[in-house]
Amino acid sequence: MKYIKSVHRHGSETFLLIVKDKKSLETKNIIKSSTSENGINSIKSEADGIDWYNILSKNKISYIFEKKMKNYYRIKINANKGFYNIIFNPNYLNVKKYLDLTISHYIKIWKDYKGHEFAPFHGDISLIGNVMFNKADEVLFVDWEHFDNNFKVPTGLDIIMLLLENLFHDYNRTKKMSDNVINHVAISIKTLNAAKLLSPLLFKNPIMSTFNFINLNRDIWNKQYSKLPILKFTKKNIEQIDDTILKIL
Amino acid sequence: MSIVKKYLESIYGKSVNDIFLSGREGYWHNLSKSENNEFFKILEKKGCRDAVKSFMPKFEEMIFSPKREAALELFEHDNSGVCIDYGSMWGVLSAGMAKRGHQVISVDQTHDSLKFLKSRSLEEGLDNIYLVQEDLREIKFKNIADYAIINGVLEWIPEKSEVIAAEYQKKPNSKINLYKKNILKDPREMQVEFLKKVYQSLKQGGQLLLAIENKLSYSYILGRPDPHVNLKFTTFLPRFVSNIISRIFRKKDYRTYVYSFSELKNLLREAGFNNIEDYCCFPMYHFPSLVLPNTKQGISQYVAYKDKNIVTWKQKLGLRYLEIFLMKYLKARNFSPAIIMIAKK
Repeated sequence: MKYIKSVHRHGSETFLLIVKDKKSLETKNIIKSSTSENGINSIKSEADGIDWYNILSKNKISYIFEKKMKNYYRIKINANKGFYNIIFNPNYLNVKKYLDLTISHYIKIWKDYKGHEFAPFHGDISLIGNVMFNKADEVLFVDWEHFDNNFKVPTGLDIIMLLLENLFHDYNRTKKMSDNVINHVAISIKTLNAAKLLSPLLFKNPIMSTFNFINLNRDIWNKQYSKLPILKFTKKNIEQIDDTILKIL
Repeated sequence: MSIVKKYLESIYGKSVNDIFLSGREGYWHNLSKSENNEFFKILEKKGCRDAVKSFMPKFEEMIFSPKREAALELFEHDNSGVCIDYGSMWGVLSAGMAKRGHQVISVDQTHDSLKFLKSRSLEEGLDNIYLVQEDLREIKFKNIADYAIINGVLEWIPEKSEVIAAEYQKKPNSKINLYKKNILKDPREMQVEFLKKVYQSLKQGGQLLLAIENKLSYSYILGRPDPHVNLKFTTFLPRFVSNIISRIFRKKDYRTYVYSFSELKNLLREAGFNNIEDYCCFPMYHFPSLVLPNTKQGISQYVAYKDKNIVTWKQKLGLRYLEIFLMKYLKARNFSPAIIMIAKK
């Protein structure tokens, strides 16, 4: 069974098709295609990201370019058997385990960038769709269309953005900053720092530094820039989170 | 010389200004003839996109957005082939197929549309689009195409008068339908005849993409007007009732027939197609966001999507949330807004 799941979603300029087994409904392939310049660049980035990831990850992602033409690219990615997405849960503490697993996986994959100011950037490490898990608690990073290995992106930015996304969903749900949640964010950043995967550019006031970096480098996110959760926090929120992190760091 | 060009020359003779002429012309356009004349004066000075932006900005997305190409992804594009885009208009799907490496024959009855598509192809560096001005009801292609596209066109096949889209919905501008009724065949019969010709134009194994409104769309049942004639309930009422309504309010016969899933499948079968896949399209085939197989498993993949045309709370309650309820929870796929079918010869 083949269907079109999304069309230029979040300004991605790609078509996303899913191929599933008719009976079990298990995903077999993910197909991305585009005829626009931006979309074709996203597909190229996807392949570059997967190639980079496959060198270091135990679980490899396989893909083929079905079409590689001047005005049209189509990539077919095979789904990794046994890996699943968790269901969206706005309660931060309910997804804490998955955040921890994701951070550990990041530390493993990015190990060659310890102590580096800049590192390759996934661009959308999100528990909603782009991080997959299996029964053995192994992690797989998918959806590499924002991958960037040329732009100078501070090491650890992917993880700070992941934490902020989940913090935002929790804040949106409760309308307050829970101490337990902020503590977990702070401990996670401490873990990243201990693994030497927090860029010195983000060490002082990590959240405000992230906020400033994103604002100065909007082009990285293109049309998705305005949807980034960190931009929805007030300056007061950001200072509050940074203060807690500083106490723990 | 390409095989396609040779083939077209064998039917129409030499092209005139790169457009093959059948001698049978008509007019179906969003602009009036005088508006089109003005537009072409601007087009001479500016590029296609700039001309559209300055003269008819509301159509920019309709004409250029690659989002409109989504349904083309349902085709297997394994090999480059020949595609016939029936009723190509401004050519968004013709350009889409050309970008995918196919030789495209864009057929339209309106010379102005083809003139625009010629400028567009030149600008976009697409030298694999061939333009044919022809009455779609009179096409004579045989076993030439690997792909055929009928996107928002089938319903207009029975309408022989000139159509300026916005005026057609308001004024009784096509009295021909009422007074010369005896010379026009039954709309369904005309549609089947056209589909038979499309079938003949395909090679064995060729694929047809057909996109059209679903007459049973929940939005029409709720009272959203039929987009072709701007009359409520005419899509799904018995045809003779729709005809009476149209004669009263539009002073013409109701001829722009749309269908339900099963009726459309029957139409295609009558035309000779037997391998048919049908898809539920959301929110509409012009700008698809979600295209699901019309099966139990297919509709179970329904997810809410963003529709920029739904802004007010009334629209959200009446359309978005209702659609989510109908599709996600009731799996009422036969009431989806639009139908896309891939039929193989």
